[in-house]
Parts: sequence; C-alpha cells; structure tokens
Amino acid sequence: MLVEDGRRAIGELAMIIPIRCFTCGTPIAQYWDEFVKRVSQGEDPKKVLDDLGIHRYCCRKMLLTHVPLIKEVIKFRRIL
Amino acid sequence: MEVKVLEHKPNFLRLRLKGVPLPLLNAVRRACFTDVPVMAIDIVEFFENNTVLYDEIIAHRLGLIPLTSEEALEKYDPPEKCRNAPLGDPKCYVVFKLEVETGPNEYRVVYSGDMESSDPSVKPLYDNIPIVIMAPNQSLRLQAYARLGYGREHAKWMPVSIAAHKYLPVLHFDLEGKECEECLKCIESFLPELAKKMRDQVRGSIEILEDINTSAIYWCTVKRCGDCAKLEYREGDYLLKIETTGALPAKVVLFKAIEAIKRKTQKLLEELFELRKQGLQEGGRG
Repeated sequence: MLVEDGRRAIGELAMIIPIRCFTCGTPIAQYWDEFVKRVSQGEDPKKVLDDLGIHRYCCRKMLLTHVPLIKEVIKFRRIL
Repeated sequence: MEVKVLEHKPNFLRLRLKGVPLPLLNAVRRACFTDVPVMAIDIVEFFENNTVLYDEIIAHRLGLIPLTSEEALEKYDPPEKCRNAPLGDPKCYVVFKLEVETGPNEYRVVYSGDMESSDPSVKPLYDNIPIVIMAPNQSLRLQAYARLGYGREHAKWMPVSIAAHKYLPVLHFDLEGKECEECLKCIESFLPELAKKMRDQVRGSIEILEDINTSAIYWCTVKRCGDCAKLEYREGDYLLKIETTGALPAKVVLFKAIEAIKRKTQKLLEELFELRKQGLQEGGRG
C-alpha cells in the first residue's frame, strides 16, 4: 500500500502499531495514543517525539511512519 | 580497577570503567542480553477470538509486552527448573486473563491494562499498549501464561534494549600559533560547547564523557584539523551504557549479569576439576 503522497512506509509492514521497535527492541506502543492525539492537533511530530523521550531514529521511525491499516481491515468480516 | 557512575536513572545507566580487561567487559555486556531472566508471556490459550488479528499475532504481541519482574526473580523458579513443569505451576507461571466483548455498535481498543494478572507484582509495565482494535459484535477470551526466560531463547526475554561499550574518546589539541579556524568551525557545527572549550583552553586534552557520537569529531580531526587536534580512543578506559526495556532496573540487570558470569565460571572450574580427577584415575589405572 502507498501512503497519500506515494511513498512506501515502513509502517505498512504492520497492521497495528508494533509493541517494540523493530531495530532496538525498546517498547514504543505505549506512546502511540499520545503521539497520534498530539500530531492530529497540529503539533510538529519532531517536537512530540522529543517530548516523549524517543531519541533514537530507529524508534522514531516506528511511530513516524506507522499506518494503522487495522482501521481499514476492521470493516470487513473475518473469513477464517 | 576503577568504576565511576556517569549517569543513573531507573532504566538507564552509564559507567566509566578503568583498568578492566575488555573481554570481561564484553562478557558482562553480552550477559546483560542473554543471561538475565525476565518475565514474558510465553503460552496463550485462546477460547474465543473473532477479531481481525489472528491468534498467533495476538500471542506474539502479548509476548512482547514488558512485564514488571523485579520481585518475580526471587519469587519464581529460574527457567532451568521450569523446563518440565506442568502448565499453570504456581512456582513457574503467572496467569493472565483477558475477556473483552463488544456490543452491536461498539468499537474498542483492547489495552494491556485490561489484562488481569494472578500476581499483582507481575503486571504489564505500561497500561496503555494497544493489543488489538475490535469491531462491533466481536469477542476475545484468552488465558496467557508468563514465565521467566533467557534472552538467548527469544528476544522478548531480553531485559535490555541497549548494552554497549566503547573506548573513551579523548580529544588532544594545540591551537597555539597555528591556522586552526577551519578545524574549530568543523567541530563547532555540531558541538558548539566543545569548540568553545577548545578556544578557551588553547591547548590540552578533553575527555569526552558525554553520551554523544564521536565519529563526526573523528572525521573533523582527520580531514580538517591537520596537527591542530587529534582524537584518541584510549585503551583500557571504557564507557558502558545500559538501557533497559523497563522490566528490571538497569542496576539490577548489571548485577544479575555479573552474577551469571560468576556462576558460569564456577561451573566451568567444577567441570575442569571433574575431568582432571577422571584423567588422574585413568592414568593411575594405565
């Protein structure tokens, strides 16, 4: 799947926010709700990530590029 | 041997170690990853699940949730003893229950805080980790068993996300009577404070104890500085950094890692002693 502006995102590898960073293993899912809330209110993602104390770029990419595909899939009935 | 704590937060620890053999330090670092047990969900029984995520995905997500395990280290048997224990053995397993149902028009996010633990001292470290999002008329009922395990078995049992060591970087410089503006500008572009210190001191050396990457300084010293400044990575002087996932405090992880190494060396010595005894006996017979 492509994101709105045509880039492929790392986040599309996962349907729902991964619990840990793929690269270093730090738990990051606990920041998701606050991250989404603050970014959708118009805050700069850079500032939000800094505030949350996520300083490595491996962990930052997890939140920054995640596309919650589960919200699309959830409309359909499960086949199995 | 000299150990100095540079930074100490519950989940983060930075040490400076002098006069420690590097192989020993590396052994401690690696033991932090593989030989310190923590709690993690290992087996999940599903009674009902018609959410959009399959059982395996949910089980995997549950496993990755960090559980508080400081008290559990004393309370529960180590992984070696639990290898053949029956499922639900109270000395080995902590049982988690999760039962969620959604109504006809209800969407709901299931969080890690919704799980009920059989032991209040072992619970998810964060209550707001999303496990699954449920659509109307769905239900999820499961029972999960957490146990102590080692990081060498699966990454979910690793107590640390980062354990790294490096040589202490020391910047030697002598700016007197030389054309060093380019060098200083290069360093200033990413570490203005360090460049200011260099300007003030004019000559000398600075030990870089902060938690920063020094590869850029190295590039500057090699490409821009000539004989104005030189970066040395000092042998026998190390910086160790440990960052935990939160399941155990960093201090506990370090002590447990050292204990594990002690235990292993003790075992090696005992085995060697046994072999030697056998060898002597056989030699005597021959």
